Amino acid sequence: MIELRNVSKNFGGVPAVYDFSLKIESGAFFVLIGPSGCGKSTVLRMINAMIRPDKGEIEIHGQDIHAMEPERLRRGIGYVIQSAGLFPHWTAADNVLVVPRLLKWSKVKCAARLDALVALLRIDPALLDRYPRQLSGGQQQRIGVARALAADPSIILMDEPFAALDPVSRAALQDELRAIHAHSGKTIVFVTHDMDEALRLATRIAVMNSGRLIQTGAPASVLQAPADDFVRDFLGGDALQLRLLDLVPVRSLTKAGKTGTTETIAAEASLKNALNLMLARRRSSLCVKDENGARLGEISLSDIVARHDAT
Amino acid sequence: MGRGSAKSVSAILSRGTMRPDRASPLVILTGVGRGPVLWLTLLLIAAMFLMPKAEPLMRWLFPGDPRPVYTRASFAALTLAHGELVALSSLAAAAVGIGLGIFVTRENGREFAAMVSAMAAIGQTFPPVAVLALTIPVLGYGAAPAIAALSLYAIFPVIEATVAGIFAVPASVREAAQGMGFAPRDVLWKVELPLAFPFILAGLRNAVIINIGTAAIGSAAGALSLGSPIIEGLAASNPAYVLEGAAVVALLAMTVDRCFAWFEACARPGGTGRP
Repeated sequence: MIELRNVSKNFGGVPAVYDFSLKIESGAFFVLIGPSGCGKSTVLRMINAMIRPDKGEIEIHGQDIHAMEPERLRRGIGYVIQSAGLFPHWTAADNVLVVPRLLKWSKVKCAARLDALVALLRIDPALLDRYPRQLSGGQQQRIGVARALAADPSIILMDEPFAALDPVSRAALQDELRAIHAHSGKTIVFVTHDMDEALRLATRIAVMNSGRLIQTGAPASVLQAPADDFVRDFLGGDALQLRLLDLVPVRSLTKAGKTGTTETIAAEASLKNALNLMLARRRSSLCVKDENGARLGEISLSDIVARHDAT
Repeated sequence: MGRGSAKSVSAILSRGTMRPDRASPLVILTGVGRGPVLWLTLLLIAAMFLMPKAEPLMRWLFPGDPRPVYTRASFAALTLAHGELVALSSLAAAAVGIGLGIFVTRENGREFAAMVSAMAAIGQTFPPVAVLALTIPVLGYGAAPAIAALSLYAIFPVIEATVAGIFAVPASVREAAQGMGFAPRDVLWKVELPLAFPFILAGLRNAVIINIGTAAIGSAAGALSLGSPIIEGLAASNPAYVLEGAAVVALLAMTVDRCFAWFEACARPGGTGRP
């Protein structure tokens, strides 16, 4: 668990973070979101002691982080930044193994870990001998994520890691990260200003503005009950209802029984996907199938609307 | 420094072999090929050892000169002594220059950056002859005042190159290194210095080449160098000596410069990263 208590930080007399308290449970995919300059990156960088707060305490697993040697603390926390920040004079493989080598792992253990990470992140092994400048942005950040995971830290900090990527690479890496989080139970603290990204990934969201925490909660509860107008606007104003649909799987509104339609949708797709398909195909209902292609039943437009009324 | 440096060293070694099937000597001499190092070295060795054999040429160039080849010391000895002046002064300048360059790029040395840069610049604007004149009373005649003057003269390009190289390390790379848990010492040795290496090498190259030319004035303080025939030639109105000394200085400078160019080319694609 990560806990920040009454943390404040000024930069040159300007408050970046003010009286900030937050608890991040172990195993959470915790997304800090807010407009540029709201202090979310500062909060993230205080967790691995890259920035030292002026006031307040920060604890990880009940231990004051400032009682630890910062290098030792950081070697136990994965860190990914926007521009990947790979070491340009080392190959991709050397970059991935930076922290294991700092921790003086044996060659055999490093090699085994590299193989595991290549498989986990679906890295093309041919890329491993290349230098960062020979990789695309998406490939670089995939290596950057592998580097953060290399020493198997229980906490990973990510500072807008996918903001500079093209939409295809970004979506692929988001999927990868979500799967890794689901399997590993690692605590991920993720900073972004992209609401769609936050909703795709988060188990918990904290909305920040002007150095303060405005609202925190599960994505659906924040979407359903924005604390104030700032949060409502930031969540997308008019499009807020559509975003809400994005969080609910089709499976939850599927009714068993015969269907009168041939258009099919996966049970794990979101209601937003379903609505989109209905609009595209001019249908008011869709046939729902599970991942094996077995027919589960039907989802109808009226059920989506009715569910929405209920919330 | 782990695999990175091992790789760059092996890359340097494997690329270091000369390829004999390269091109005609003419092409190589004009600098188009990769091989001018070899040819310039051969020419330099010839000049060092075969200068007495050039007497007919000198006699033809300077008719009426009774002794047109400098013989007070062999050109081999002069070149070695000259090289020693340059090597010692450049090593001193490298140690001080790189050290100061590192110091002023550390967090608690940053405030000295402007001062150090200004002092180094003054060191370079100060004419070496004046430094000689000022240091002889303290250090006496011989190689010591020459080495002092040359060191002072060469520090500036080394500091400038070191600072430029370290500042050229992208902020994201430095941040990543810190975030991964590199100690400040590791950030310097494993990240900043390897990435700044091409810059530092270029600064050293400048310093060494400048020193090869300037070291000739060391003979004005009584040090043995390729400046000895030049100064004696000037004093005795014997232009043949001046030409001989100057020609070998020029050959030495070109050879060393090409060596640096070759070394830089080797160091680049392997490890140190930067295009």
